[in-house]
Amino acid sequence: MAKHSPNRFDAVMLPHLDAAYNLARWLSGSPTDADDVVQEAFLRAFRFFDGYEGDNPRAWLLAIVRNTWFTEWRRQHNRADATPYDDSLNVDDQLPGWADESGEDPEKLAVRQDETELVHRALATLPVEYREVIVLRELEDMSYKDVAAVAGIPIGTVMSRLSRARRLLCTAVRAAQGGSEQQAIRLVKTPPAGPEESKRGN
Amino acid sequence: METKSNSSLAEKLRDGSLYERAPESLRVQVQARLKAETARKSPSPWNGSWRMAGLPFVGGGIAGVGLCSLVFMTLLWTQPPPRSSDLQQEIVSSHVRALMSARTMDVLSSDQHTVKPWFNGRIDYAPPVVDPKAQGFPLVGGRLDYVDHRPVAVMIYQYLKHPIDLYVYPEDRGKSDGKSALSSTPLITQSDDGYSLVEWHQDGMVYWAISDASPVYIKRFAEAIKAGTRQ
Repeated sequence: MAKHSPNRFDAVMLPHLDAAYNLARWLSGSPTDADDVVQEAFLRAFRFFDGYEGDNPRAWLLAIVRNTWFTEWRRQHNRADATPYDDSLNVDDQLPGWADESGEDPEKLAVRQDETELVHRALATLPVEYREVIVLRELEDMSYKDVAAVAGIPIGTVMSRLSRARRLLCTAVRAAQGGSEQQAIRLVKTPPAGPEESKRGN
Repeated sequence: METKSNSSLAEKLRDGSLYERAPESLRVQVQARLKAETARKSPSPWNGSWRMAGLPFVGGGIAGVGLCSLVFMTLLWTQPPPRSSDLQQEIVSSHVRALMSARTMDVLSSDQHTVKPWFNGRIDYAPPVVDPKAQGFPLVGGRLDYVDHRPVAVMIYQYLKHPIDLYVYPEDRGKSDGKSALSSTPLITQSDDGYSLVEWHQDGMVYWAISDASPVYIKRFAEAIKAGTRQ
């Protein structure tokens, strides 16, 4: 009975409210949906608190947030991502619709201080399964084990998905930075051009 | 934090600039709902275990209603409770409700010369509006609220990340108990929800400040406001 005391739940779970909101916001893309998801998830967490085993409240709570969003919101709101997702795809295969230039490493890709918004938008364009692992691993700084627990996938899948996600994110960021860098060279109807017309935009 | 002009994408991901923090209104809502959930779940303490086999909800409900009527009647028969504790609860409820609705302000301005005239025509008195931002309590806006059977002006301030609501309204001449003719020292209390409250009287106005900041800062805030309105 002591376990169900609200103070204990508050003390253990409320510190992870920001993490819950962060995940919900990145999954749903909407602050109002994130609000709803977090409230519902906290209610569920409270009701299931007796079943909580006790050493990793953040992972436990985020798993509930993720499942709440996945089962309730995604189904209802039918947010089908533009890119069809298939885990069985060989990691090196190209996803349809993505010009995947492998080999880019987030550790090496430079971004400026004022490019936060650009990175934010690039991350938001990733298919949710990739976005999710980036948020959990990079933003939330979770171990592979915890990422696997929250996303409900095996650890090996976490690693391969992360590796893919990082490359996709790099591509998206570089595309946003470079303007039309990733697209085919456009023919411009101007007189024979000087260096300004170079295909590598700034 | 280093102020490099460039970082890597990996560093950018990890530096917190993409992290979405929960808004204060959400925090308040979650806590309120958990409270409601607790109230629903826990059996009434006077509902002894011999009731378990029966209809616990109905039993609890009847016992609850019984107890409530007892308390209600007791209240009616005894002296009227000190106005300030009813009023205190009203203030807490109004403050929390405003936070929950995320509509904490009707007028969003840190300029006291915008906030003060905004109340004209909305209430029948002119609240003194000060801006003690030099002491760390900037004005952020105002709103209209309803407390103690009348519309009241609320000025919204901030201490670091904590919102502070300041409710100001004229004293009831008829009902005052004599001591409030002049200013009174700020009386600090803490509601059982964890909010700090200060109340004081000054120049015929009643002031209530409420915040989730700790009482030390609320006291300082009250003093800053008092000093500001004394001019």
